[in-house]
Amino acid sequence: MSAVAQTSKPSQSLLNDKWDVVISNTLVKTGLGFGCGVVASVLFFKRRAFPVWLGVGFGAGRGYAEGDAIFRNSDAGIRSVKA
Amino acid sequence: MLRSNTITRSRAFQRALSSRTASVHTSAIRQNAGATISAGTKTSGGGFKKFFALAALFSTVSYGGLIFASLKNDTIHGYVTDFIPFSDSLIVWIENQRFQKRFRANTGQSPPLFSSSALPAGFDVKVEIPRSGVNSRAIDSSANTTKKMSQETPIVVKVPEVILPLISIPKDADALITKSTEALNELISQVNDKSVDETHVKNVAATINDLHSFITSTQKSLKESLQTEFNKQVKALDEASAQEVKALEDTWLKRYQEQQQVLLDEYNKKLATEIQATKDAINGLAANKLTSLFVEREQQYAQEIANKVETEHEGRLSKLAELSSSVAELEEITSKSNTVIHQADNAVRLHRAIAKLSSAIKDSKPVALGPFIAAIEKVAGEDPLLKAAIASIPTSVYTEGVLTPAQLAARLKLIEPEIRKASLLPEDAGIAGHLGSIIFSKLLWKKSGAPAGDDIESIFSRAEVFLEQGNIYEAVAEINTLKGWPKKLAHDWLDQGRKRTEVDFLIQVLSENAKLWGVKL
Repeated sequence: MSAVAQTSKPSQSLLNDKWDVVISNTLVKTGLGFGCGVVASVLFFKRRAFPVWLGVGFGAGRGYAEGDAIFRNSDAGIRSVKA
Repeated sequence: MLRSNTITRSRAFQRALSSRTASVHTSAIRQNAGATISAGTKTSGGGFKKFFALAALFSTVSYGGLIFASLKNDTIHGYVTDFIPFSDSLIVWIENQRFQKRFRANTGQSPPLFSSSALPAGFDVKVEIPRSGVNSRAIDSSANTTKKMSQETPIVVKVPEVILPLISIPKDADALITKSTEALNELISQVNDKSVDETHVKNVAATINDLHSFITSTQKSLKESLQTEFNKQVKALDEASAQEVKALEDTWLKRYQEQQQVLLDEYNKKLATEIQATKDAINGLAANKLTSLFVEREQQYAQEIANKVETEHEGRLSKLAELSSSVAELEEITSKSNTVIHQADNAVRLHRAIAKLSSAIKDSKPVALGPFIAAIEKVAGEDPLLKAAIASIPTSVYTEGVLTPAQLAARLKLIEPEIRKASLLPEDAGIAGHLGSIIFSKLLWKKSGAPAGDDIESIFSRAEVFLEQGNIYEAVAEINTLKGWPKKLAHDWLDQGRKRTEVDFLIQVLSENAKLWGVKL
């Protein structure tokens, strides 16, 4: 099992994998925030820009926090889905 | 005495009773008078009269009934005497009457005084008259009879004139009796004639005396004769009984002796049979013992003969035994030499197998080591050290083989940049730390040679040097000193390097052992 895991995930690429997850997660969260901000600005704020920036900030912040958690090997962070 | 007592008691009782009965009587009279009065005067009404009469009747009946019941039952008696006036005295009176009646019946006397209970008026008069009459009559009768008796006695004394008959006796009576009878008859006749004389009486007396003497003498003689007869008979009886006893004794003795004889015969018979049986048994036993002894002797004899024959043969046989022992020794030597040869063969084969394995791991490409190890295992047999060495070879090597030193060096070169990126990571780094490490690791100078220091650059340079020298063991040890993320990243390389060193070491052990096999021979 461990051998199979090792062959599928070589030890030198451990950190790169983590980086992949973190970056994709941050992108997704930022995108979500951006989207929410756009919708909010259109619906409630008469197309002003600040809700969009606020949304992007929320998303990026969320992504950063989760990335930290991922690197620190704590229980926090994005939920892990067993394939 | 008794009679006088009873009389006095009855008198006293009578006096006490007369007053009470008088009172009862007067009340009855009063009632009667009331009744007559009420009957006479009809003005007050028939209802009252009727009521009075009924009440009187009822009270009288209930009174009488209660008294009667109290005579029969003790509890009713207690109630009646407690609550009803005059009942106590009346009951006592009735009981006394009863007692007197019973007493009269027992003694058989009937003083008329008690029998007349219902006549209180003429009571005393009636009592006195019959009582005196009875007494006087009894006394008179007794006096009369005694007087009559005294008057009649002189009349009886007068004897009437009678002629006495003569005494007749049978003719064959004794002479003396006849004589006395004659004398008596004479006296009777003279009495009849009333000419009684003294001589006749004397005569009679003499004859009677004679008779008396005769009778006494005859009695005496009879007594004597009877005594003698009795003695005789007693003697005879004694003798007869003695004889009988003797005869009985004889017969019993005879029987006893006979019986004894019979018993003795039986006993003798038994004894004889027993003696015979014991004799037989003893004979049998003796025969058995004899036969056993005989057999034993024979056996001993056979044994002796065998011994003698053996001792005679032993001289020749001993030489044969020596020969056989020398043959056995030879056999042993040959077998030993065989094993030695076999062992030498084995050792050679082992050497070859180990040489093959060591050449295989020195190949430029990784080769599957399974068949080589199997060959060594086959030759090694039961050698514990070889077995243990083979068992400790990692199983992945069987199919995958081990990386060559050149390969290991190339791989180290491959992972170097990755490890270098993580070289500046602080402990428990987040995104910022990782990013910083990646950026600032680009600015690090590469080292070469054998620099001292714990930093990643110096470790890498030392490891590379060791790998170039072919010293994989030291290179692995250097890389093993990494910590944190760098060590995690170098995990795969470390694994491979360890495998390689292990296999190298085990092959060395095997070859040393194989050398030992050669030495053993």
